[in-house]
Amino acid sequence: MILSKEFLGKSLFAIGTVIASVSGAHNPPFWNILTIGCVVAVIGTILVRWSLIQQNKTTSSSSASVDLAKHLEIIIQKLDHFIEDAQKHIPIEKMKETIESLQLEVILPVTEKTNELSVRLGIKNYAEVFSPYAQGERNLNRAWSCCADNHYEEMKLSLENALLYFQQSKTEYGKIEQAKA
Amino acid sequence: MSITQNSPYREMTFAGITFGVILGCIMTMAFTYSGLKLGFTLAGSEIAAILGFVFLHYILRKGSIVENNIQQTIASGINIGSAGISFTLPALLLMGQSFNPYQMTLAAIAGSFLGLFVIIPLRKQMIDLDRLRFPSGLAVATILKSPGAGVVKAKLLGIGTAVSMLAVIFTKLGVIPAEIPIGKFIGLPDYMSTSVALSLMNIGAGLLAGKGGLPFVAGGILGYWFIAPMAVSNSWIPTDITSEGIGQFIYGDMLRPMGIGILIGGAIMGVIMSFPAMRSAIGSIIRASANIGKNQTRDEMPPKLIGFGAIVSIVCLFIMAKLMGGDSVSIPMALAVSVVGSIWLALAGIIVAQCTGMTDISPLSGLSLIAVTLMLALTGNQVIVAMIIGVAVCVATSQCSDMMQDLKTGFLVGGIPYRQQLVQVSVAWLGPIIGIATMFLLWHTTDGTPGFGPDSTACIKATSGCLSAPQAGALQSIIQSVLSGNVPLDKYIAGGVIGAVLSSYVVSGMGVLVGLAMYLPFPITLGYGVGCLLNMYLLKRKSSLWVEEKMVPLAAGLIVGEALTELTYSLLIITGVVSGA
Repeated sequence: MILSKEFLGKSLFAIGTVIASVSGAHNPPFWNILTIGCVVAVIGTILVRWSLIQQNKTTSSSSASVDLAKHLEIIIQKLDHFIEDAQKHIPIEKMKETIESLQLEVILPVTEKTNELSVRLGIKNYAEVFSPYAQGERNLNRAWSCCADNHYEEMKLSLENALLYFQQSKTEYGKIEQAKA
Repeated sequence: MSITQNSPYREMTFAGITFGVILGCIMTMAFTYSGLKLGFTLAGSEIAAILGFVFLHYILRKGSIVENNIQQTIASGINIGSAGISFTLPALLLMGQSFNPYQMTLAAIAGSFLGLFVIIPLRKQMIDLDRLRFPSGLAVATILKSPGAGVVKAKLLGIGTAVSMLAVIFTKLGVIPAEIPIGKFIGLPDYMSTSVALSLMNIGAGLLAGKGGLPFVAGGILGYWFIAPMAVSNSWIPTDITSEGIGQFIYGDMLRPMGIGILIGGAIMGVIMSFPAMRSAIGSIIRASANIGKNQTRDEMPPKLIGFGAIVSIVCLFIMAKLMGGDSVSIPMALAVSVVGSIWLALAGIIVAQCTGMTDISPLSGLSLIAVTLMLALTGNQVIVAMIIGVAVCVATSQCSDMMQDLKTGFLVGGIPYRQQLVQVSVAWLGPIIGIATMFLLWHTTDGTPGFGPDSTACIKATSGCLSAPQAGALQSIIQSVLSGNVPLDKYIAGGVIGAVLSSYVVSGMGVLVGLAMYLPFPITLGYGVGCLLNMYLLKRKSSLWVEEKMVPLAAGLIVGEALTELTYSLLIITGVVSGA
């Protein structure tokens, strides 16, 4: 039922857009038909948004395609390990490889789903979580650059900053989940 | 490489800043010249990144990745002014209008600063939250990271660059066609413009955008596979248009103006829809700025500085509008011009930054044209005053896209945004000064004839020194048609409504992407679409990890290779080695 509502919404949006665009291209535009097309497209948009909200309500955090709480926990744990390794002066080339694996295997799959997450969390909540998340990511990128430039001290500092931001992101997400409960 | 661990990490250094300033000044002069000669300027970031890499890493042997990021931010921040100047200001000279060059330079500088102060607060929104791809920014980051990225990635970057260079060379030599006319092969009429542009830079941008770029392709399909056949089959084309001219009529009189309207409506609705996130992002910048400790590194430019800078820039635009308009422009009119012009400038800056972020293609000239049209309407056809805002908008929007692209590069290499913002703001005044000085140097000749344009001696004699100023010529003809009352206002309004509806959909940026597709010729959109589809196919067949590791450096190489070859080719034309015909 939800799927069919989404499909209907998408179809109405597409049909409405085509009607509005074709009538708008005429010299002068067919204003009445353009208005009808726009109304149909807006109805389609409302249906799609409605079905997405319903899907969000029926999908629990752990069964969603991205379990953000678990994901953030993994990043924080790994960063904790990296910082410990850095205290032991593990070779910088090895540090670069481990940072790279965190970026590609843990962070990348989630950042590819930010559109889905912004719909699921709501635009404001998404911003609260992903603003510090992106700062953490940028500091992790800086740590990688420091490894490539052979600068151990700055790498350690960047890893510590990244950890702080990901923890902040986790706290923000926790607040959202608490409010939902 | 000899970065010692006890020294601070090299980022904002004297060497990097000096090299960036020198390189930026040289590129501004060269690109202003190429803008007047060829009608387009070139991407400065890639060139600056490569030259910076050679200078900082190989000559000084102590450069860091983020230091080179600062260097290329400065160089491209200076040279980007050349596009804004060479596309607009020469139109005034070609029209025989006299104006005070110093006042016009101040207006261009005000535009340059205003563009930056408008776009800097949106960094979090566009890069951290919307996660726009900025294909050229990604390509520059790949260059900057190449020393530490390993042999395989460096090889792929090199292969992509070489393939793209060869493709451009073979296209210029006529060995391979510039477009594949697939429409002809399957029997589609010419007016449906179904060809794929063989620009590997374009395909590379599509490869980096992937599924997110599909609405752009859908916009092109809507324009050329739905609207065009409907217009022909329902006899909407005037009878005096020949069959060869149908395609041009559909593009120029239907799709392009409606595309501009969709872009504008889409951008306005996009801002409204993302307002909660924007407020949250800007709020976090303000909070972070207020709570910053003594030993903490500042991540973003202080909001107070941004606000102060924006107000000073608007006041400067107001003063220039009044001074240049003279008695024919009253104080309330000058105020209206500066306020409306600044609002339009902000909107155009957001549109251009979004378009560049999503597709790497910028509708710069179309938005400057709207600025001029708007100002002509507001001032009762005062050409000079309208052009002040036109120049300011063109310079500002160039700054917006360049700043955001460099900040994306900075994000990927771990640069500190505030430092990038600070250096770009510090040099934003240089580009307009050098660009305008270069233009006047080329305009004034010893015999008093124009130095460029169709009436210049070199162009009349058709010598290699002819600077035809094609973009300015186009703007001149548009200003003249606006003055004669020929503005497709109904198309802009219809497009605006459609754009607003599209951007209210769940896919962010839908209106901007569809509008941009209608604004551009279809072969470009289709070429980009090939890249998007290839990305999706590879994601399905391989993995996102494989795509990130293998395809991203290759696609970055495709972008870099075409930029470098086009630059070399432009230099060969300018020096007269090749004819450019």
